[in-house]
Amino acid sequence: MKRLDEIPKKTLFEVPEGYFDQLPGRIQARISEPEPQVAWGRLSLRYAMPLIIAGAVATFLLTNRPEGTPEEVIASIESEQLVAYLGETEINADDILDAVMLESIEVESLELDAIDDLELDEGVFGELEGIVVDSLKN
Amino acid sequence: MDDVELLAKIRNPETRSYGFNMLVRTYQQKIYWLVRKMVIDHDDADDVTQEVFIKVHKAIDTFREDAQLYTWLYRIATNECLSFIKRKRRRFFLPLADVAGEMTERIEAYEVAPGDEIQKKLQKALLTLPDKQRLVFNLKYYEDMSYGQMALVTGTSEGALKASYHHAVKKIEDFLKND
Repeated sequence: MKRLDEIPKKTLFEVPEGYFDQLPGRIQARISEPEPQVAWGRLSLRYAMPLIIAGAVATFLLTNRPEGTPEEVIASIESEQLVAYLGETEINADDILDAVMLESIEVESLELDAIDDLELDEGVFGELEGIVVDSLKN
Repeated sequence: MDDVELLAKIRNPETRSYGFNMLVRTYQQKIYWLVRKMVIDHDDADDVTQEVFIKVHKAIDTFREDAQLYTWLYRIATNECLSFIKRKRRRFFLPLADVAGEMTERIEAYEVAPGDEIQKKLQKALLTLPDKQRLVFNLKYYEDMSYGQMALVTGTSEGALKASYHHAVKKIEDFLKND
Protein backbone atom coordinates (compact mmCIF):
# COMPACT_ATOMS: atom_id res chain seq x y z
CA MET A 1 0.00 0.00 0.00
CA LYS A 2 2.19 2.81 -1.25
CA ARG A 3 -0.19 5.20 -2.99
CA LEU A 4 -1.87 7.91 -1.00
CA ASP A 5 -5.29 7.17 -2.46
CA GLU A 6 -4.99 3.58 -1.18
CA ILE A 7 -4.75 4.76 2.43
CA PRO A 8 -8.04 5.22 4.29
CA LYS A 9 -8.53 8.77 5.51
CA LYS A 10 -8.69 8.67 9.27
CA THR A 11 -7.11 10.49 12.15
CA LEU A 12 -4.51 9.03 14.43
CA PHE A 13 -5.22 11.52 17.18
CA GLU A 14 -7.64 11.46 20.07
CA VAL A 15 -8.94 14.13 22.39
CA PRO A 16 -9.67 13.85 26.10
CA GLU A 17 -13.25 12.97 26.88
CA GLY A 18 -15.47 16.02 27.20
CA TYR A 19 -12.88 18.33 25.69
CA PHE A 20 -15.19 20.01 23.22
CA ASP A 21 -17.94 20.36 25.84
CA GLN A 22 -15.58 22.33 28.07
CA LEU A 23 -13.63 24.33 25.50
CA PRO A 24 -16.22 27.07 24.85
CA GLY A 25 -16.46 27.78 28.57
CA ARG A 26 -12.70 27.96 28.96
CA ILE A 27 -12.41 30.35 26.05
CA GLN A 28 -15.26 32.47 27.43
CA ALA A 29 -13.49 32.62 30.81
CA ARG A 30 -10.29 33.88 29.20
CA ILE A 31 -12.16 36.47 27.16
CA SER A 32 -13.94 37.68 30.29
CA GLU A 33 -10.68 38.17 32.21
CA PRO A 34 -9.96 41.85 32.76
CA GLU A 35 -7.03 43.28 30.80
CA PRO A 36 -3.97 43.51 33.04
CA GLN A 37 -3.62 47.14 34.18
CA VAL A 38 0.12 47.34 34.47
CA ALA A 39 2.02 50.50 33.70
CA TRP A 40 4.43 48.64 31.50
CA GLY A 41 1.69 46.63 29.86
CA ARG A 42 1.08 48.97 26.95
CA LEU A 43 4.69 49.60 26.01
CA SER A 44 5.88 48.15 22.80
CA LEU A 45 9.40 46.87 22.56
CA ARG A 46 10.58 49.94 20.71
CA TYR A 47 9.62 52.10 23.68
CA ALA A 48 10.85 49.60 26.25
CA MET A 49 14.32 49.22 24.74
CA PRO A 50 15.55 52.75 25.54
CA LEU A 51 14.17 52.38 29.05
CA ILE A 52 15.91 49.05 29.52
CA ILE A 53 19.16 50.50 28.22
CA ALA A 54 18.80 53.52 30.48
CA GLY A 55 17.94 51.32 33.45
CA ALA A 56 20.90 49.01 32.88
CA VAL A 57 23.31 51.89 32.55
CA ALA A 58 21.79 53.73 35.51
CA THR A 59 22.35 50.66 37.66
CA PHE A 60 25.97 50.47 36.54
CA LEU A 61 26.60 54.15 37.02
CA LEU A 62 24.91 54.36 40.40
CA THR A 63 27.15 51.66 41.76
CA ASN A 64 30.16 53.64 40.57
CA ARG A 65 28.98 56.93 42.12
CA PRO A 66 29.40 59.23 39.14
CA GLU A 67 28.89 62.94 39.57
CA GLY A 68 25.46 64.29 38.65
CA THR A 69 22.07 62.56 38.55
CA PRO A 70 21.75 59.23 36.72
CA GLU A 71 19.67 60.94 34.06
CA GLU A 72 22.37 63.54 33.49
CA VAL A 73 25.06 60.92 33.28
CA ILE A 74 23.06 58.73 30.89
CA ALA A 75 22.27 61.72 28.71
CA SER A 76 25.97 62.39 28.40
CA ILE A 77 26.74 58.89 27.12
CA GLU A 78 26.72 58.15 23.41
CA SER A 79 24.03 55.73 22.26
CA GLU A 80 26.65 53.55 20.62
CA GLN A 81 28.40 53.15 23.96
CA LEU A 82 25.16 52.18 25.67
CA VAL A 83 24.47 49.55 23.02
CA ALA A 84 28.02 48.29 23.26
CA TYR A 85 27.62 47.98 27.02
CA LEU A 86 24.53 45.87 26.57
CA GLY A 87 26.39 43.74 24.07
CA GLU A 88 28.95 42.90 26.72
CA THR A 89 26.32 41.82 29.21
CA GLU A 90 24.37 38.57 29.25
CA ILE A 91 21.11 40.36 28.45
CA ASN A 92 19.35 38.85 25.49
CA ALA A 93 16.06 39.52 23.79
CA ASP A 94 14.19 37.04 25.98
CA ASP A 95 15.45 38.74 29.14
CA ILE A 96 14.28 42.08 27.85
CA LEU A 97 10.88 40.68 26.93
CA ASP A 98 10.53 38.97 30.30
CA ALA A 99 11.54 42.14 32.13
CA VAL A 100 8.84 44.21 30.55
CA MET A 101 5.28 42.98 30.57
CA LEU A 102 4.17 43.37 27.02
CA GLU A 103 0.73 43.15 25.64
CA SER A 104 0.34 40.78 22.81
CA ILE A 105 0.17 42.45 19.46
CA GLU A 106 -3.15 44.20 19.09
CA VAL A 107 -5.28 42.30 16.64
CA GLU A 108 -6.20 45.51 14.85
CA SER A 109 -2.58 45.76 13.78
CA LEU A 110 -2.35 42.10 12.99
CA GLU A 111 -1.03 41.67 9.52
CA LEU A 112 -1.31 38.07 8.66
CA ASP A 113 1.83 36.76 7.08
CA ALA A 114 0.85 35.44 3.78
CA ILE A 115 2.09 31.98 3.23
CA ASP A 116 4.90 33.43 1.23
CA ASP A 117 7.48 30.83 0.88
CA LEU A 118 5.83 27.66 -0.16
CA GLU A 119 8.81 25.60 -1.02
CA LEU A 120 8.53 24.42 -4.51
CA ASP A 121 11.03 22.46 -6.50
CA GLU A 122 12.97 24.17 -9.24
CA GLY A 123 11.29 21.84 -11.69
CA VAL A 124 7.84 23.07 -10.82
CA PHE A 125 8.40 26.78 -10.49
CA GLY A 126 11.63 28.66 -10.95
CA GLU A 127 10.76 31.13 -8.23
CA LEU A 128 8.07 31.77 -5.72
CA GLU A 129 5.01 33.55 -6.97
CA GLY A 130 4.15 36.91 -5.47
CA ILE A 131 1.84 36.85 -2.57
CA VAL A 132 -0.95 39.26 -1.89
CA VAL A 133 -1.54 39.87 1.75
CA ASP A 134 -5.04 40.65 2.78
CA SER A 135 -5.22 42.77 5.88
CA LEU A 136 -7.84 42.22 8.52
CA LYS A 137 -8.21 45.93 8.87
CA ASN A 138 -11.24 47.64 7.47
CA MET B 1 -27.60 29.04 13.21
CA ASP B 2 -25.92 30.21 10.00
CA ASP B 3 -23.03 32.65 9.82
CA VAL B 4 -25.26 35.66 9.12
CA GLU B 5 -27.28 34.98 12.26
CA LEU B 6 -24.13 34.30 14.28
CA LEU B 7 -22.62 37.61 13.29
CA ALA B 8 -25.86 39.46 13.98
CA LYS B 9 -25.95 38.01 17.49
CA ILE B 10 -22.32 38.98 18.06
CA ARG B 11 -22.75 42.53 16.77
CA ASN B 12 -25.70 43.08 19.13
CA PRO B 13 -24.23 44.02 22.53
CA GLU B 14 -27.07 42.28 24.33
CA THR B 15 -26.42 38.94 22.66
CA ARG B 16 -22.69 39.29 21.97
CA SER B 17 -21.55 36.77 24.54
CA TYR B 18 -24.16 34.22 23.50
CA GLY B 19 -23.39 34.76 19.82
CA PHE B 20 -19.67 34.32 20.30
CA ASN B 21 -20.23 31.21 22.35
CA MET B 22 -22.26 29.81 19.47
CA LEU B 23 -19.48 30.70 17.03
CA VAL B 24 -17.00 28.76 19.14
CA ARG B 25 -19.32 25.78 19.38
CA THR B 26 -19.90 25.85 15.62
CA TYR B 27 -16.27 26.01 14.58
CA GLN B 28 -14.26 24.60 17.48
CA GLN B 29 -13.82 21.12 16.07
CA LYS B 30 -12.86 22.28 12.61
CA ILE B 31 -10.31 24.70 14.02
CA TYR B 32 -9.00 22.24 16.60
CA TRP B 33 -8.40 19.43 14.12
CA LEU B 34 -6.74 21.76 11.64
CA VAL B 35 -4.42 22.88 14.43
CA ARG B 36 -3.89 19.42 15.89
CA LYS B 37 -2.74 18.01 12.60
CA MET B 38 -0.11 20.72 12.44
CA VAL B 39 1.18 20.77 16.00
CA ILE B 40 0.53 17.09 16.79
CA ASP B 41 0.43 17.43 20.59
CA HIS B 42 -3.02 17.89 22.19
CA ASP B 43 -1.88 20.43 24.80
CA ASP B 44 -0.22 22.53 22.12
CA ALA B 45 -3.32 22.24 19.94
CA ASP B 46 -5.45 23.30 22.91
CA ASP B 47 -3.28 26.39 23.48
CA VAL B 48 -3.28 27.39 19.82
CA THR B 49 -7.01 26.80 19.40
CA GLN B 50 -7.77 29.02 22.35
CA GLU B 51 -5.49 31.72 20.99
CA VAL B 52 -7.28 31.53 17.64
CA PHE B 53 -10.68 32.16 19.20
CA ILE B 54 -9.36 34.90 21.46
CA LYS B 55 -7.95 36.67 18.41
CA VAL B 56 -11.23 36.10 16.60
CA HIS B 57 -13.07 37.70 19.51
CA LYS B 58 -10.77 40.74 19.44
CA ALA B 59 -11.04 41.17 15.68
CA ILE B 60 -14.66 40.15 15.05
CA ASP B 61 -15.82 43.76 14.75
CA THR B 62 -13.33 44.32 11.93
CA PHE B 63 -14.52 41.30 9.97
CA ARG B 64 -15.70 42.37 6.55
CA GLU B 65 -18.78 40.44 5.66
CA ASP B 66 -17.93 40.34 1.98
CA ALA B 67 -15.64 37.45 2.93
CA GLN B 68 -16.80 34.12 4.29
CA LEU B 69 -16.54 33.74 8.05
CA TYR B 70 -15.14 30.24 7.62
CA THR B 71 -12.35 31.50 5.36
CA TRP B 72 -11.47 34.25 7.81
CA LEU B 73 -11.37 31.86 10.76
CA TYR B 74 -9.16 29.45 8.87
CA ARG B 75 -6.84 32.25 7.91
CA ILE B 76 -6.33 33.19 11.55
CA ALA B 77 -5.93 29.53 12.53
CA THR B 78 -3.34 28.74 9.84
CA ASN B 79 -1.35 31.80 10.75
CA GLU B 80 -1.43 30.88 14.44
CA CYS B 81 -0.24 27.34 13.69
CA LEU B 82 2.70 28.50 11.63
CA SER B 83 3.58 31.20 14.18
CA PHE B 84 3.42 28.68 17.00
CA ILE B 85 5.76 26.26 15.26
CA LYS B 86 8.16 29.07 14.41
CA ARG B 87 8.14 30.35 18.01
CA LYS B 88 8.70 26.85 19.35
CA ARG B 89 11.69 26.41 17.13
CA ARG B 90 13.11 29.82 18.10
CA ARG B 91 12.47 29.43 21.82
CA PHE B 92 14.28 26.15 22.06
CA PHE B 93 16.87 27.07 19.46
CA LEU B 94 15.83 23.97 17.60
CA PRO B 95 16.67 23.60 13.95
CA LEU B 96 13.87 22.55 11.66
CA ALA B 97 14.82 18.88 11.80
CA ASP B 98 14.65 18.72 15.59
CA VAL B 99 11.16 20.21 15.83
CA ALA B 100 9.98 17.68 13.24
CA GLY B 101 11.96 15.01 15.11
CA GLU B 102 10.22 15.85 18.37
CA MET B 103 6.81 15.65 16.71
CA THR B 104 7.78 12.40 15.00
CA GLU B 105 8.63 10.91 18.37
CA ARG B 106 5.17 11.83 19.61
CA ILE B 107 3.67 10.08 16.59
CA GLU B 108 5.83 7.02 17.24
CA ALA B 109 4.54 6.89 20.80
CA TYR B 110 0.92 6.55 19.71
CA GLU B 111 -0.51 3.08 20.14
CA VAL B 112 -2.59 2.06 17.16
CA ALA B 113 -4.43 -0.99 15.99
CA PRO B 114 -2.36 -3.17 13.63
CA GLY B 115 -4.32 -2.02 10.61
CA ASP B 116 -3.60 1.61 11.42
CA GLU B 117 0.20 1.44 11.30
CA ILE B 118 -0.03 3.01 7.88
CA GLN B 119 -1.61 6.09 9.50
CA LYS B 120 1.49 6.51 11.68
CA LYS B 121 3.71 6.17 8.63
CA LEU B 122 1.63 8.77 6.82
CA GLN B 123 1.95 11.23 9.71
CA LYS B 124 5.70 10.66 9.84
CA ALA B 125 5.86 11.26 6.11
CA LEU B 126 3.94 14.53 6.55
CA LEU B 127 6.45 15.71 9.13
CA THR B 128 9.20 15.54 6.53
CA LEU B 129 7.44 18.30 4.58
CA PRO B 130 8.09 22.02 5.17
CA ASP B 131 5.45 23.45 7.50
CA LYS B 132 3.62 25.43 4.86
CA GLN B 133 3.54 22.57 2.41
CA ARG B 134 2.25 20.30 5.16
CA LEU B 135 -0.47 22.85 5.86
CA VAL B 136 -1.48 22.91 2.19
CA PHE B 137 -1.55 19.12 2.14
CA ASN B 138 -3.74 18.94 5.25
CA LEU B 139 -6.19 21.49 3.89
CA LYS B 140 -6.54 19.62 0.62
CA TYR B 141 -6.32 16.00 1.73
CA TYR B 142 -8.15 16.06 5.06
CA GLU B 143 -10.47 19.06 4.61
CA ASP B 144 -11.03 18.57 0.88
CA MET B 145 -10.74 22.32 0.54
CA SER B 146 -10.91 23.69 -2.98
CA TYR B 147 -7.85 25.46 -4.32
CA GLY B 148 -9.94 28.59 -4.68
CA GLN B 149 -10.87 28.53 -1.02
CA MET B 150 -7.32 27.68 -0.05
CA ALA B 151 -6.05 30.65 -2.03
CA LEU B 152 -8.28 32.92 0.06
CA VAL B 153 -7.14 31.29 3.30
CA THR B 154 -3.44 31.37 2.50
CA GLY B 155 -3.17 34.43 0.26
CA THR B 156 -1.32 32.29 -2.28
CA SER B 157 -2.16 31.64 -5.91
CA GLU B 158 -4.11 28.54 -6.87
CA GLY B 159 -1.32 27.49 -9.22
CA ALA B 160 1.29 27.55 -6.48
CA LEU B 161 -1.02 25.63 -4.17
CA LYS B 162 -1.73 22.94 -6.76
CA ALA B 163 1.95 22.52 -7.44
CA SER B 164 2.75 22.38 -3.75
CA TYR B 165 0.07 19.77 -3.08
CA HIS B 166 1.05 17.48 -5.91
CA HIS B 167 4.68 17.76 -4.98
CA ALA B 168 3.76 16.89 -1.39
CA VAL B 169 1.87 13.80 -2.59
CA LYS B 170 4.91 12.65 -4.54
CA LYS B 171 7.22 13.15 -1.56
CA ILE B 172 4.85 11.27 0.72
CA GLU B 173 4.48 8.36 -1.67
CA ASP B 174 8.26 8.16 -2.07
CA PHE B 175 8.61 8.14 1.73
CA LEU B 176 6.03 5.37 2.11
CA LYS B 177 7.71 3.34 -0.60
CA ASN B 178 11.10 3.56 1.08
CA ASP B 179 10.00 3.28 4.71
